[in-house]
Amino acid sequence: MLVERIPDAKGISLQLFASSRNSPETTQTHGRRHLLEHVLAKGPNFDLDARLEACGLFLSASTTRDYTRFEISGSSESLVQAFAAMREILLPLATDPEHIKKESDIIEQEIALLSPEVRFSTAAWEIGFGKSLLDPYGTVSVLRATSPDELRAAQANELSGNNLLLSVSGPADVDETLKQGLALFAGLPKLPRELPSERPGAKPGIGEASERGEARAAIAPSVASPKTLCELAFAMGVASQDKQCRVHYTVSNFQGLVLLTHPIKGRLSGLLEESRGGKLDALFLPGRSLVRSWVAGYLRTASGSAFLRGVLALHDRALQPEAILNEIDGMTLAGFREAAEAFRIGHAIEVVGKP
Amino acid sequence: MIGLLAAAVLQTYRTAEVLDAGSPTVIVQAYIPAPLLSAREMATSRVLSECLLLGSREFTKYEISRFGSQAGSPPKVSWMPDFIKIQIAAPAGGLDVIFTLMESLLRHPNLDPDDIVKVRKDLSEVARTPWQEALVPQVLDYSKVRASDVRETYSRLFKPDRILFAAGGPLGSGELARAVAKHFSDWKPAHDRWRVADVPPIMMSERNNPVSSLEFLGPVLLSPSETYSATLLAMFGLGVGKEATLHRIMREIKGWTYRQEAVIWPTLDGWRPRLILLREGNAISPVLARKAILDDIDSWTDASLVRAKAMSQSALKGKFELNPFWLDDSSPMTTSLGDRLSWTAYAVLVHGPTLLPSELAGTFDSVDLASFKRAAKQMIEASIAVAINGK
Repeated sequence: MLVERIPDAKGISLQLFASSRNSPETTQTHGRRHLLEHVLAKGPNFDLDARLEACGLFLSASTTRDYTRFEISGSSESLVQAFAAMREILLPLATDPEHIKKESDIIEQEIALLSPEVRFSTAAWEIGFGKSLLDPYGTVSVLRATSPDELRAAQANELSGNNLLLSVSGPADVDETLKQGLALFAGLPKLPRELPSERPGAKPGIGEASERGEARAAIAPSVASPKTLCELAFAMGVASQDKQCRVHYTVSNFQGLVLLTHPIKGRLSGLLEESRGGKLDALFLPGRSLVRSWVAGYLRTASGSAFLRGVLALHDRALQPEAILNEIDGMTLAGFREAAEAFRIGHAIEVVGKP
Repeated sequence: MIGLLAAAVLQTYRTAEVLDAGSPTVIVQAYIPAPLLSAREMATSRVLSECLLLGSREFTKYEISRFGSQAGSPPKVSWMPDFIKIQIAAPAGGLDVIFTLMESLLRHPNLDPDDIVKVRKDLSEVARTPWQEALVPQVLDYSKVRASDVRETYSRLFKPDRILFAAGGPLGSGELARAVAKHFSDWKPAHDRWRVADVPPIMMSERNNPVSSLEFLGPVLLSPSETYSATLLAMFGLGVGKEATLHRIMREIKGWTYRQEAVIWPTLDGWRPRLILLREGNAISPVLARKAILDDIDSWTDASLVRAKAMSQSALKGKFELNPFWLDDSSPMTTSLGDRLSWTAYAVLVHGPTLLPSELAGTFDSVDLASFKRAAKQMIEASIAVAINGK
């Protein structure tokens, strides 16, 4: 559990992370963690949101390849209610087939509304990692066929005591917050087995996506690695040259992808080609400044800080954002130039979209 | 000398300031109003706004990016259907660097014909997301925009007496006025030109995407009015949070939508309340949707009012990131210095109430259940339904 006191923060943020390391998904279970997130976020009596919002708190939830996250944010005067709500999320799941079908329908809509950047990202991950690391959204037919018992088993696996991390940031008293947080975890079962911590490595390659435009991804070690930070600086520097160009990266302690997308086919390749030679060096200072601002930006709000501190500590207890900022400050032009190479065809993952 | 000049120049330019002594950055925004544009003018102003960062007489696009990104965020031009906003940030103490760039962008943009062709092509080819299309549903034809149109629109819109400058961060007394005087006091307005009569833009009704959207577009909120606070609070009851009408009824009970939000949208006439709903498949019937919302408003109780007030307090006091107020087309308002500055500048731009967000939240305290329900019903009944059907 992490507690950070930010005396002048306007609100409080509690974020519960459940690591996915114990719940690898296969094509037969694809999206089960996502479905579980949807069902748990309703609370055992389906009235969690009503009670939270009545005191100015808001519950949101998300699922990535690395974790499922529940966040309650809002008024720090309602800290007790926020902890009580988190406790309800950890209670044994109460659900039935009708509820599962309804949430599956909602997830079908969610998938239909995914942004082009996310669709390019999904395609890039599939090219790089194959079927060994499926997207977090799921396959709707698999979700609809999930039984309540299967979902309960998934909950027992994913939300076990040694799989969880609670990150709290805001103006609240640290001792009181710690006391409430420890009570939250008390009595939760712990899994006996050794937990896997590595994921299969990505390989460069080329593939297609049904979106318009194109994408290029550099394979990145963990977020704290100087290589990843240089790749992010390069990507942000390139993207700053074209309003339509986007950077997509999921903060992770594991290997991942730093993805650049552009909605017009050929334009990204052109930008990457342009950013060679003297122009590459000209991108170094803006790129480093942009990536520093991106990390520092998380630390400006209780929600951002609780997120970044939590996601870093989930799989590496010693890792803190300040160490990442120090790495960025020490970034060199040589490292930046190497990062640019990681986006070249042959080193990178290339996704070809529609014209 | 500069002091006298500063006093004189402020009679021409409007300004707004947000002082924040502890901020590591200083931000400057320039607002260029563009009211009542025809379809063709709107397309032209969009192309113009996209060209501004591509180079000026003094700076290449790389230099604009490099000098303007020193605080960690690149210069940004936001295009809205009735105004353009330029924002540049720099580390504290960098006000003059920003104004040097701003002067160059506003007074000497290249508007290079090759850039215009490229921007025109980009705008025609880039598919916007269904949410972006719902936010700005005007259908604009960029193919007919000529370089001469862009220059003419530039001359007409970019005039000293139209522009509002706003600055935020650790600013000294009179620093903004002195910077404006130094960089803009000798800017002579271009001569007015004839406007060619043209039709207003049409609104999108179909999109090449399986996602449909439906919007209830309410009347502009004119302040101060009896219903101003009640209607803004009603927007929290209707579309902010998962217990709000849109999420609870449209998504959870009816199963009609996935994304459904209240948006309080900035226009030159004032805030415009909008309820936007997105789903895959055919658009929801506006008649059924309006009825479902009105039926739900009838069932609102004291608990609904308490919830709306609690959510509005948390949103407007920055206790969480959920917020229905938008200050441009990029995202809802946050507590960042740039957004606090935009909030203050917008009030000056539209001659609206100069309340801070937290002070606005305070005006909701006196709204009772009857006026809360009445304002919500009036907003829905007076709203225009705008449907964009997915393919």
